[in-house]
Amino acid sequence: MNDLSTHSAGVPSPLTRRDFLGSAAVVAGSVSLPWIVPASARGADGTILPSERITVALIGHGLMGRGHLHRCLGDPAVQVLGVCDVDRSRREEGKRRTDAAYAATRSKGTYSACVACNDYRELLARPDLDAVLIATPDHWHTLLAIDAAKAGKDVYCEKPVSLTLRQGRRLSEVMRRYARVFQTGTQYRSMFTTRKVCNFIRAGGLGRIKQVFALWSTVEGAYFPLSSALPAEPVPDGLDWDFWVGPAPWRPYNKRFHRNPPPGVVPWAFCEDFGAASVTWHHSHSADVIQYALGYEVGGPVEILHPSDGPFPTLTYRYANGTLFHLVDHWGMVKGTYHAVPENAELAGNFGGLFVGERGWLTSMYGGGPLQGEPDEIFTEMGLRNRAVSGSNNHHANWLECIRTRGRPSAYEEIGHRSASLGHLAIIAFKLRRSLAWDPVKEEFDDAEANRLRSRAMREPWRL
Amino acid sequence: MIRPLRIGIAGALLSLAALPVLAGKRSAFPLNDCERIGQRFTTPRPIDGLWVIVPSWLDAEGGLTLTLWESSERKRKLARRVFTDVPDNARVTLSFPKPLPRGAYYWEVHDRTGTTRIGLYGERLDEEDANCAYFDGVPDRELRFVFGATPTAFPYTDTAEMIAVLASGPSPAERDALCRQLAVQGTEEAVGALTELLADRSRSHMARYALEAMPQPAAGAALRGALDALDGDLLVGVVNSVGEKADPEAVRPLRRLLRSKSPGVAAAAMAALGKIGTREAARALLRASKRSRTDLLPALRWALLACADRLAEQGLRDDALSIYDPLRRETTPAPIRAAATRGAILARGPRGTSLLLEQLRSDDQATADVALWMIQHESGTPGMISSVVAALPDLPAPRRVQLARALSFRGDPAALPALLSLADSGPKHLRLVVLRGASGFPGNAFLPALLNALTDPDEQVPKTARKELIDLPGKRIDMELTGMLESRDQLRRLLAIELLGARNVSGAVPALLRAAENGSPKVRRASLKVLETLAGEDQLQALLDILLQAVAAADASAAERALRAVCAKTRNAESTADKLVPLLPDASPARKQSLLRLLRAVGGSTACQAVQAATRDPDTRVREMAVRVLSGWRTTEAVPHLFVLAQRTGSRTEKVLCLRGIIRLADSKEAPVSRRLGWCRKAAGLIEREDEKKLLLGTLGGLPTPGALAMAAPYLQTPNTREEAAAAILAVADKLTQGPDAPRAAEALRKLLRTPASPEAIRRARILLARIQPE
Repeated sequence: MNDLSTHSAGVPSPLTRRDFLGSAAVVAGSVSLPWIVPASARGADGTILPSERITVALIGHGLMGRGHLHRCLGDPAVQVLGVCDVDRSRREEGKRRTDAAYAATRSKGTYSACVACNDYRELLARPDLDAVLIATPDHWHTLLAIDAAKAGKDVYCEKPVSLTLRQGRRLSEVMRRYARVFQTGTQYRSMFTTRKVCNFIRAGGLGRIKQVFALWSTVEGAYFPLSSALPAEPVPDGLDWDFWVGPAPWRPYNKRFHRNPPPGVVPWAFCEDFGAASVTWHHSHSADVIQYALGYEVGGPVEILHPSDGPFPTLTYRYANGTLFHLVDHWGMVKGTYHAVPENAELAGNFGGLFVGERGWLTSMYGGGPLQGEPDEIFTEMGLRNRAVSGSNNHHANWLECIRTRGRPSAYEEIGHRSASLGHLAIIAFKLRRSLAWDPVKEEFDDAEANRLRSRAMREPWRL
Repeated sequence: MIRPLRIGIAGALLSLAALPVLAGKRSAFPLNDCERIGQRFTTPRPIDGLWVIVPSWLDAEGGLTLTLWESSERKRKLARRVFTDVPDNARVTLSFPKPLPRGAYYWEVHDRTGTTRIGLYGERLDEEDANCAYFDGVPDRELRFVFGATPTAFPYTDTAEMIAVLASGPSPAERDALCRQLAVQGTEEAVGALTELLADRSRSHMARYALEAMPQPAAGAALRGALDALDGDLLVGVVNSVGEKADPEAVRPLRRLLRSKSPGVAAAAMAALGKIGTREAARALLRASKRSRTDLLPALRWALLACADRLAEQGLRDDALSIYDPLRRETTPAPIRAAATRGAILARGPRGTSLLLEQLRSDDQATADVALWMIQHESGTPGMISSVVAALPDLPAPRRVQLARALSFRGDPAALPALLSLADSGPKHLRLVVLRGASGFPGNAFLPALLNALTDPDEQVPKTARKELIDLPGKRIDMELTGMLESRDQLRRLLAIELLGARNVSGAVPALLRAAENGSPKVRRASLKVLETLAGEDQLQALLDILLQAVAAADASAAERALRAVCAKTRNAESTADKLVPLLPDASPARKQSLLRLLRAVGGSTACQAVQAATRDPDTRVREMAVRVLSGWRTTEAVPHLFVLAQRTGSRTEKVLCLRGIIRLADSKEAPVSRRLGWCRKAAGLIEREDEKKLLLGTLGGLPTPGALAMAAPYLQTPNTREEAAAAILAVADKLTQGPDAPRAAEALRKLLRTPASPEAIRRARILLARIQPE
């Protein structure tokens, strides 16, 4: 056997940052150590030593990516090394923002070291990079995360982490294989009130949970993302459309997928090749929060009951313990169709769910005002002084802390896979228009056609 | 009764989810007035169902039949369903026996049942449209009923149909749709047609899209066959598909491709063999490692790791180790070494622990990181954690901290004794780490250690323990802390009070009340401070007793603050006031003042009258407090009392307070504008000082009525109130420019323009005037 341990030339060298810093220090020590090391470099002025900072790169500088970049640039313990986007204007804007932010913190007032690149593999090849944040269209999530892990990088990935059940399983396997730290971008679980609600329910505060409700949205009448063709339009200057499509089935450019300024948060999500519609919009968040509260965050339901042949008017998941999770078109259905809460219940918001237990009911939504629920005592029991829901959370901080400690983030890969899976299960049942039995351990249906929907071939030359 | 229709388009940021048919002004149309009402529509894509929303006019439930026809001529029925017991605003869905192609159709509701009126929602169109509503067969071209059609994922009936369409030269979009459906429903008959597409650059991927998903052996054979027939990216694609199918029969042809001159093909073959993960695949990869080009080494390593994982899953541990161990050499790139080490530890089973410990003891942080990761992410083997814990004391200090943190995160009972020992008597930095990880262990195992740490002399230790004790869930902690309230040690009592407050433990209220009644001054005041948050109406009497019996001013003040919080959250102001008011006559002047302040927090008419009565109290301090409380009253019921007082009092201070209270309440939206204006008029007659005049003008600016203009105008004449008057006139006029009172606004603005007001006021007045009277 050849010595597989030697480094190869011309391909990303999976050297770690610590290796790099170690070797760089040796070189510096022998030939080029500055006579006076600035205090900031030594951390004497309260700044964090460069060697202690976590170096990150952003892949995808769209609306969500901007938020991630903002978060990282404001964190003195993080150094942004690069911004990757297949749209030149977006990556250059990312570089400008990064350079400007760092220039403002330096005595010289200048900084230009942020790299802007079209091909993410250039970033992954950098030995001084610790981690990547992935905020691309969904069809790239799994592939990028896996390639990053293989290059020894930790990963923060926007949700859904996959577009198919198999992709998610593979993602989880590879993250473990390479012992990486992975955080799913389902940040609502890291909000104070959401954690309180979930832990309360998980500890039996509402008694046995009988029903859960979450929203599910349609795309032009369909309960699943569409695959219909859109007319070809001229590709905007500076956009590498072939790379944008990447592993998905080829489609000519159309501005509904991508344009500047971005047409909405996740414009591509209506198209099944690039996104997962309701799963991308909000269901991944709801699934994450709900399965966390139910104690099924690394499991899943055993049945998906379709309204055409199931006992419920809307698609419903049934868990092994009997809990029913109903997807509704709007919150009014919880009262009007299911009669699950009083008529005067004020239900609003999204990115969470409504739990109905033996003792009462409780919401965990965001963006719809304060928490709602009955009886009143549950709020005192939860230790909440008021019911206000704030969006602030420690999701990124948790990821960064786990990178340092090699710990397991709050929404690690298996949780991200299972929350995305829940949405994929619904999409498959909606597409097939029938109820399905699901084995959450083997991740298999009792239905041959459904099993064939668990994966999709990637466009050449891409593979997981 | 038609209830409001609630169509919540979830995720409003996701505009594509919005249904166009839900836009516009909507009215309900009863079916009762016709035999049948319907809608013609055109669908741009195949559909397999449609839905309508059915309002009823009573709470009773009705029924109807929904039928889909080929056209409005109703010659060919496509689907029908009878619905009964339909609740108000229900969405009823008609599923079709098979998908319908894109085109124009017509649906109707008819044959109403039940006693209620029942119908459909419709909305007016901006222009005539052939896709419109029908009443008994007659089109209304300017109306459309609310409905939706559900697109189908699978428009074709069977494989035969799909093959026929595929052979007919479909458009790229149709061909893609066919391949998507064949992926799910295609039978073996489709394999031939799909195989033909594999060599076509524009169609190869979608052919694989189907073939990769098809479980039939023929699909696998077709992909294997293509390994000999293709090259370049198309071959890479097929190799990738073969790998995804983990087809063991493909090992031989893939082995051959490992020698391909194309790095892309060779790397793809490596990846495919790694996914297949059989002994034969492993042999092929290991053989390739003897001669592989350096630029293919990363792909080879990744493939070997995948293959080794597959072998280990199958129980072939020695085979897996024969891959992992060589990849663990020091010179191997760190990510590969980390992965191989993890695999090697797991594949060794219980013997892997020593390898894990070896990593932990390494001087190299990257090596140790693998062990730290595994301790936190892997379940491991029995005895693994005990061995790791045993190694803890011998590790260098920084590594001990890392390991202690990792063990705390893991929360393994095997690590508990060692960690508890560290929490009690370890070096400070380790104690802090372990205490911070207390939440990793279930069942409040760390509770005694945390409670113990609360009184540690090093301030960082109790600070850490306090934070953990606030965050840790569980009723046992609540009970322990409540029990601590009975401690003889004042410091422990104070800590318990602080933590109970921070944890919001309502069950501790009785104990906190006891502490407030009989504790030391510090304990008393701390308890009362926490009761501000935790106490409710049930504790009103007990807190009143504490207040009335308080000797020290600080105690009374603390009790009053707690009572004020309770009073402010009362749900029944009158009932709460009834408990406070009878205490007034016998209370000392100081306590009377407290009670008056509490009555302000309660609010309501009973409280207000009691405060008003207290404005005649013989004690000056009580009287003054009553005036202050009344002038600061939160609701407008105090206004009449304030007027009486303002007119009656001989005290200039009291009069000012009353007038300020009136002016403030006149700004409240609680009362209609006319009444508020009346209060302003009456107050104006009593005001003497310029300060109050200015306040009054501020309030007038918020009253959108010509009366406010008339009141403000005279103040333009006085230099000291001119700017406030101008501001008031401008604010009111701004709101009146579009209505019937615009002439009155113009008149006031013209008056303003005739005064020497500020240039900014003049400029804004001209703008408003121009808006009212355009030139």
